[in-house]
Amino acid sequence: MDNKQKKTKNAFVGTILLFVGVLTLGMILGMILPARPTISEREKRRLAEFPEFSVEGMLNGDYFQDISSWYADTYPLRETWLSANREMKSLYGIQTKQILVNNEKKADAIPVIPKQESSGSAGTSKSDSTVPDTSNSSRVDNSAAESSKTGDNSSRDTAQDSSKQAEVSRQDTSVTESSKTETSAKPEIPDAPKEMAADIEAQIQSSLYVDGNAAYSIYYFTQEEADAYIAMVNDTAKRLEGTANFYNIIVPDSTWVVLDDDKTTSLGGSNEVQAIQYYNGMLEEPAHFIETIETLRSHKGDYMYYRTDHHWTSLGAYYIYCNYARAKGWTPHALTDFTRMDFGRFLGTYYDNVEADAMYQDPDDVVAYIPMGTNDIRFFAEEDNTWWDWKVIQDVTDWAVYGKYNTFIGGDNPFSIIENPQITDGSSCVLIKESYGNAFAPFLVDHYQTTYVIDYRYYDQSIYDFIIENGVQDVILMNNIAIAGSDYVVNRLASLFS
Amino acid sequence: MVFSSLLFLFAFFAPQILIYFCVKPKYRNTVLLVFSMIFYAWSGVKYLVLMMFLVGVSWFCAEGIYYAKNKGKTGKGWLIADIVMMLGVLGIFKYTGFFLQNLQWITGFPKEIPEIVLPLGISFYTFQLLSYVVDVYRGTAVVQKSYWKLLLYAGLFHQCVAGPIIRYQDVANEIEKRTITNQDLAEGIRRFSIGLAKKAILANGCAEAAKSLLPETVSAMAGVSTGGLWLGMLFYMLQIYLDFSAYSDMAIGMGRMVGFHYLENFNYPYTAVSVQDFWRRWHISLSSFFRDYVYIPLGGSRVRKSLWVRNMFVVWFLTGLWHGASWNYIFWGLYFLVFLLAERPLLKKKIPAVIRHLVTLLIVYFGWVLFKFEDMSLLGSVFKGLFGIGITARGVNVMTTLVNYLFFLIAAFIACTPLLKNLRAKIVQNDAIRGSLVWRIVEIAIPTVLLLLSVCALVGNSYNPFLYFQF
Repeated sequence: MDNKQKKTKNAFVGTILLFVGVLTLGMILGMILPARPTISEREKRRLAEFPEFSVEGMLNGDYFQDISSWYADTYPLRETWLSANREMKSLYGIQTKQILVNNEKKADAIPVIPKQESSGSAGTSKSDSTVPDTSNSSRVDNSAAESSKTGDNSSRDTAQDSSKQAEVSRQDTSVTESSKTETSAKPEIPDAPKEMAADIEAQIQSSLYVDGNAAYSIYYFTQEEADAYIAMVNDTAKRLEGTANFYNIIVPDSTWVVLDDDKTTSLGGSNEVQAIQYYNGMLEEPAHFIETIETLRSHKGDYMYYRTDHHWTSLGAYYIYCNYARAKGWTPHALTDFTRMDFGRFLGTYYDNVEADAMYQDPDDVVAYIPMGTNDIRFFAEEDNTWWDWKVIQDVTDWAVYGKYNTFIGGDNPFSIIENPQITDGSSCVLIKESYGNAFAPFLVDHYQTTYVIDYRYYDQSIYDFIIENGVQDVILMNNIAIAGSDYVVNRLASLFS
Repeated sequence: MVFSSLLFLFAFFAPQILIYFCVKPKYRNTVLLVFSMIFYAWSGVKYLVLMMFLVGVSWFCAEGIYYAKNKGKTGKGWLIADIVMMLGVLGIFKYTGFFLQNLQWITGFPKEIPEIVLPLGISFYTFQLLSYVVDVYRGTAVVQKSYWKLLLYAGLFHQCVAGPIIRYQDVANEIEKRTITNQDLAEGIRRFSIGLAKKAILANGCAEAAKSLLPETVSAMAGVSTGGLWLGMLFYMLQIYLDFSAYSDMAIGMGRMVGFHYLENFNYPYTAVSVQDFWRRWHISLSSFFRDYVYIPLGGSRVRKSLWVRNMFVVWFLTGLWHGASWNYIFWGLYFLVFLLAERPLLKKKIPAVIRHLVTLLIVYFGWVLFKFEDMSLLGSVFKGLFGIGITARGVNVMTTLVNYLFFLIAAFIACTPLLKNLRAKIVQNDAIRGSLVWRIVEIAIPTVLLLLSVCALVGNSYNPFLYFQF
């Protein structure tokens, strides 16, 4: 055998040894069960679990399919593989801009409604924008609050039987806070809200325009859902007339606030300015609206929306709080009145979705303002069926970079209550919201003795009864515009208000 | 279980290869058979039972033919029984729904159409079994006395679920006895890793891009642009080749590792210079199956012109139908028939290769449009949309997708050509380079690097079906 042939043969052996060696290492790695992750912080989800055996599943293959999913989903060093994959994908082309289009979307034309009272006031003609009537203060002390003090977590039926309802966003908080009970790592959304969350997700996340380090949601107006939403608000406000004031706040996406209109128009989708005008314009007395989009647009250039997440920042929420305060006839507090907290790097849901490297390199920054009156909040957490004493603005500096929006009011919980000891006039409001409301809620604290927050996606008692029973004076319904266009949301709200 | 999955790579294939080489040669078929049965059972134990039953039928019929021949008879009855059985079962599982749908459309009956799950790989292994029994009948293959060895032939996990369609006589000897050299093993590893990377990185990447550009429903047409459709279909065209040929690469590679030499299933079809040439390069094992078991028995081309056209029609109708129980696949087969007939007089004319090549690619491209959309009204909209008819959206996302995938696209194009293969052949001819340390390291490292890159892609990838699993 000459030297050349020998070398070739050695190359064969080398190829075999290296390949089979790595394959074997992969096999061994796959067998180390403790090394398998159970949750993914970054993807904000619980990874697939090993399936339960069933004869039927074995016969038709579902059982094995689930084992395959489990094996791949929880393969050790998941995050490392994912990062490597991201690196590889960044070489696919020139990564500056990209657009992801959800082709399923179709938009209706938005009927033009004569613009109502402009700039930042509620439907003023009917605005009884006085300071809350404190005479109406025979406020029944919330039994829930009491029970929580004594550690009894069951007395309030608010959320008792819905213990299965967990919510998504607080768990990732606990990912880093592993000391914090087993509430950690339950990012599974149970049945009822799952559908809805998916619906909402579809509304906001599915059509994205990505420009470098920022993503923008493309909104599609649908007449039927808009009309249903408006009807629900009008009806509820009427039924509450004389008992409570009803404020409807529709929050735009970043798209029509941050981008130039030319750009936004070229992306397709519907005009959010017109859409919000429609929502506001169709409201009837005694429902009030709080103007949002024109105000936010007048502050163009400010950091009002996250670039890597579909939420707004404290600053965006603050501007709308100012509108609300003015509508109530109050002087809004200045931002400088609050203690400002900066929690640093944040990569949100858009980043999860598109994994743009530019976002990773240039993440968002979460800033929050601690209310002056109190920073204490109590909320009911579904997953462990208990009350939590928490902070309105929780220090999330050391939390996972993906979960920092949870600084606000402990994330999404079915029911929360904030008592401001500095105010004793018996005033109260309830903010009925999805996650956009989280950044807004802290600003209400300094105007009411009691601020209730209800996340209607997880709360399953009558909100109407709650308002009546607790003598709540101001009802604020806050929704992102895409979410307000979800028929699931409309139906759920309508049933909760009935 | 799909080849391009972590479970397959690390929990199935790795132990299989280790055990295979640890046991004595006489147990190696048993190892392959046991692993193949586990592999197949993964899609559902009941489907394994069905496959084992059909293998039993073919084994029995071939035995019948064997004994009939010993008695001086032809054994035609056994052949017919096997054909009826194989095509009958395939027909029931694959075409009942389609047949009833059409019946319902014409007569309004039946009211409800049952949903029948297509057993994994049934289109492939029934064809393999058919070819075996026909070959025994024809005397071109020797009957296999052992049921288990026939089961190994039809159920070997390399090719049982998505081809290539292996002929029994091609592997008959290797089932009995095979030698494996280090070169076999190393070449097999190389081939397997190339296929894996082609699938996990290139085909899945194309799939993602195509999915973001192409509509899934008619109403979604509102959101697509003409440029988007063209680019989306280009990605789809790349995907379907890379995906399917990757599967064959992996099958051939795994076969080589354990001493089987399967015939090539693809020969760079996108370099074809005529439609006929394309079909000689695309899914070769299927085309030659139809050629040997349908076209030639019908008389092939050595008949009157009208009969020849009929023969061609039958073959292309069946080729279309084999790909799926839906009209679009049938149209797709007949579409190629039209071009095959039309190009025949032109083949002898002197037309520059570039033009032939481009025209062929264009014909194939539009063929994939037919292939892609099962929904007839959507298919119509897409066809019109490709020419700008009925399109309202502006194509903002086309340029960006193109720019985002620029290098990826170039890599995918290269993967469709023999460029790298030829380059390597050139290098290997050069003694100086071949003997150099750098080259040897590159040669040794490439399969493992491709494996690791594929694992990265697979961990993060949710979109990973093999297209040809539906057939």
